[in-house]
Amino acid sequence: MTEAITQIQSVTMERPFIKQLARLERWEKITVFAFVAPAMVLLLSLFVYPLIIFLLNSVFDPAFTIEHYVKAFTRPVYLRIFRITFEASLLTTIGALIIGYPVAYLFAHVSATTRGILLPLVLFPFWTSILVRMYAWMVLLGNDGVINQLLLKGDIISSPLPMLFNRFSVLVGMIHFMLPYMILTLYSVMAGIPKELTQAAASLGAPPYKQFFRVYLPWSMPGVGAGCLLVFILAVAFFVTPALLGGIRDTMISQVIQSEIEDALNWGFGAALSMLLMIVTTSLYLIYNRVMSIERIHGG
Amino acid sequence: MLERLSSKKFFMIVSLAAIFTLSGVLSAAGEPLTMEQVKERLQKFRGSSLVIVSWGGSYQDAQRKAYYEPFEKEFGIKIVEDSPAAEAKVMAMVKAKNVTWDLVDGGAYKLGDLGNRGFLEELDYNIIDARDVDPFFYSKWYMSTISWCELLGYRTDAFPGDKAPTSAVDFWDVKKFPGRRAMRDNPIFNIPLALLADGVPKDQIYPLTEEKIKRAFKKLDEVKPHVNVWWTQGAQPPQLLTDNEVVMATGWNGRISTVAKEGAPVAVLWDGAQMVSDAWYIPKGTKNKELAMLFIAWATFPEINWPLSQYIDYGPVNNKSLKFLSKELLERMPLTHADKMIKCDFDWWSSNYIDMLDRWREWKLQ
Amino acid sequence: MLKDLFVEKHWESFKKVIFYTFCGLVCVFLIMPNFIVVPISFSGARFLEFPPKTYSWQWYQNYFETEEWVSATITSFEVAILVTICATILGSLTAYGLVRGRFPGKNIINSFIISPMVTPVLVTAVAIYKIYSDLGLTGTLIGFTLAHTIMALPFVVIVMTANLRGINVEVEQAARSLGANRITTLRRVIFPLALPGMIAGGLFAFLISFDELIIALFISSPTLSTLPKKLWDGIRTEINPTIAAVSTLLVLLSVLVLLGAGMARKYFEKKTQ
Repeated sequence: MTEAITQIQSVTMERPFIKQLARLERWEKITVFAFVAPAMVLLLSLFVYPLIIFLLNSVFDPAFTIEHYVKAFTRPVYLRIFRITFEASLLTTIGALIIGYPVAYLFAHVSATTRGILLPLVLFPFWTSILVRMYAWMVLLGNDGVINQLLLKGDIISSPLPMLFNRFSVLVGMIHFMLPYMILTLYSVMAGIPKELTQAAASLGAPPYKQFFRVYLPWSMPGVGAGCLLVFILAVAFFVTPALLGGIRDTMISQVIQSEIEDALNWGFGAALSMLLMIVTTSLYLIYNRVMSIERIHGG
Repeated sequence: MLERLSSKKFFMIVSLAAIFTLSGVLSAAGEPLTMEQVKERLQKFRGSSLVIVSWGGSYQDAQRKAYYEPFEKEFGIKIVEDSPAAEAKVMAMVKAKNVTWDLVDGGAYKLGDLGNRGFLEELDYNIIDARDVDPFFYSKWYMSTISWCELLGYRTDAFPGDKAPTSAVDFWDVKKFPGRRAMRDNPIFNIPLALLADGVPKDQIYPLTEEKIKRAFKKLDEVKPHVNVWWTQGAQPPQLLTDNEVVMATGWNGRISTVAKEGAPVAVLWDGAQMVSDAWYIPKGTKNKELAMLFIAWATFPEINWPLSQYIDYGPVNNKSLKFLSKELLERMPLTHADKMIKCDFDWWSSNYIDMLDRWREWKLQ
Repeated sequence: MLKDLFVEKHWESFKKVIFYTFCGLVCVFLIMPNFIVVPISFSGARFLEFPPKTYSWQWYQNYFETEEWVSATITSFEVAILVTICATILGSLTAYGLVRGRFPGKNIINSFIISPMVTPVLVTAVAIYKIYSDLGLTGTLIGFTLAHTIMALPFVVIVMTANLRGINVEVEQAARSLGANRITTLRRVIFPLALPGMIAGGLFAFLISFDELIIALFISSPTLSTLPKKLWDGIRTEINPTIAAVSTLLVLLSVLVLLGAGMARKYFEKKTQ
């Protein structure tokens, strides 16, 4: 601290007017806060405030009570629905990672022109309505769906394969939705890995698998962490996919919240489940922020 | 002897007199308004407006033709329509003490609880004439406007002629009636249907006891592997049946009979259906309570209650409405087949709905 | 030795084949479902048939002649255009403040602006639904616009932050030192440089609003609902190919937007060169 002061003093002594300029600049940097204000006002009034009002229902419906949280933890079915939600999200994350990693690797190692061609392929589903994609999967996987019709015509199977309205179709739909997020996150980190690294390892005589596991993989780990967290955060809150592609045993937590609000008219319990879900996603988001900043330090 | 006779006579006279005065009192207090009186009272509201909320789509279109337009024309009262009539929104409005809806249409099985929790105005049966309406259809919180039922529908080409299913038992019998099935992802009809299939006579299903509920879930276990689709929207069953996605499904009578009318090889089974209704109710704290009440009174008269059935396959609730219907229409109306049906216990469901949804979710995940 | 080398060489190319095949299959997996709806939308049959035996325009006709579909589409465009304007302006200002400003809690504000993206949408939707019910904003154009703007804002801010970081502070300082005030600097110096980013952010905002379903599920009314809401109802209730026709049109829209974005980028690259 004293060091800083002496530094400033020495500077001001050298150039007396700079003190004034510095103050002006500091003032200007605070005024830019005015640029952030409109968005803040919008978010506070129509996002944060409603959220608080809604979540307060979980302890004030109608008077102060913790019964809704007690119910969430004591009726086994809700813990089970949380488990199903986490399981499906975890499988989605792993699936997206396994499928996405090689593609991201390819992205990071082809010429810019090839990447320019490949990028829209990955981005395209990102830009297509989720409903269109879910409808497409219903059309593809149904009992009278495209895949079954083709397999039946080709005499490969004798009766339709049950592919829709079960865990399989939910996972397919969710992985399909999440892949672009995973690939882009992984790619953003892989692009920053110096090529010389693996070359150096190779010149030292490391066999390819060692080059990969000892050098490349550790360097890409921030991307893996960030990608997995992002996918998991988005997946636990999923509603459309399990509702459209899921079977009777694939109920996820968002569906229960929706039904509690709209059908059971039980705002208190709906809010309690929302709160629990929010706690999960928010803590993961905080971890994500840390991972990403570590990655930034790592990458540059 | 004489003494005894006279005491007997005396007793008779007294009791007769008592009955007479009592009925006199009753009729003085309980004689509801006639159509003329209702119309007269509505005159003073000329120029005002009434906000009525319903479910949109073809149902609200039919309501407009059957109720709103004639009402506006006759009494000069503007009907302002809104939709959807989400009960959650009624709750939000009443809590915020900012009630902008005067009269709402909702499923009767949710309303008892809503009323008991203080969200609804009590209805006045000195104004509304409910004497020709089955007490099943109304309570102090609501007055039904349409009768409909949840029932079994099936494909006639899968089970032609005398091979057609005749009862809930057949829905469970996958050997005699093979093929995919669809059921609603909700316990309200599945529980009574399962009990029926398990041999409980239809008039002994309600009141539901713990023992019966357990029995129903156990029976549902049997059919669970054969149900391919668990539908959530009323439009799904007719679509699933016409597309041959399933051969048998539970569904709502009006939806299925509509596609049958259009020529799809689909039929409904009235036996073992469960009668339910949509009802008018008044949110607590509306400024137009009296006008809303008079509207309900007006709309419940048989002459007003029946025409909706011309536009959409939902039945009237007033027994005297039936005489206006054509024979062909009569056949499609739930009220005509009421004696074959289970009468849903609205109050039981409204006070146990949250708990039953918990149990339904538990059963689904088993 | 020679044999070993031979095997190794083949093994290497074999591995490469597997790798490329895998990546190819993933691309097929990503792309195919978006286009499977195209042939089905031209099917002549009322039911799902693949490949279709007969072809017709009837499902497109059905779409354009059904009032509900058309009005939902118009609403969606109206909302999306309004959201594009609001979110791009608000998001660009925010990003500028975040990049140039130095005030306490900046990182917290940054995370806060991004939070609608990671908050479970259903929870957001219910919360908004409740407040909208009190305010009478359900089923209104302004209600949709505000809600979708909140959802689109994080994306615009992310894009614009990256974009503005790429603009050298010295450019701005130079302008300022020549006597231009902040507003003039913004308009004359920063705005032209930030334009490509604003277009990209705006496209994001447009598509996010255009595809938004969950909030629409709660705040739609039968008289005012968006295309995704109508599509959601349709997918669950009608299996007929009208849905495929609508889906095809949506895919076409995505293609056009992507092409537009690519062309805009090329244009600006050429301009800056």
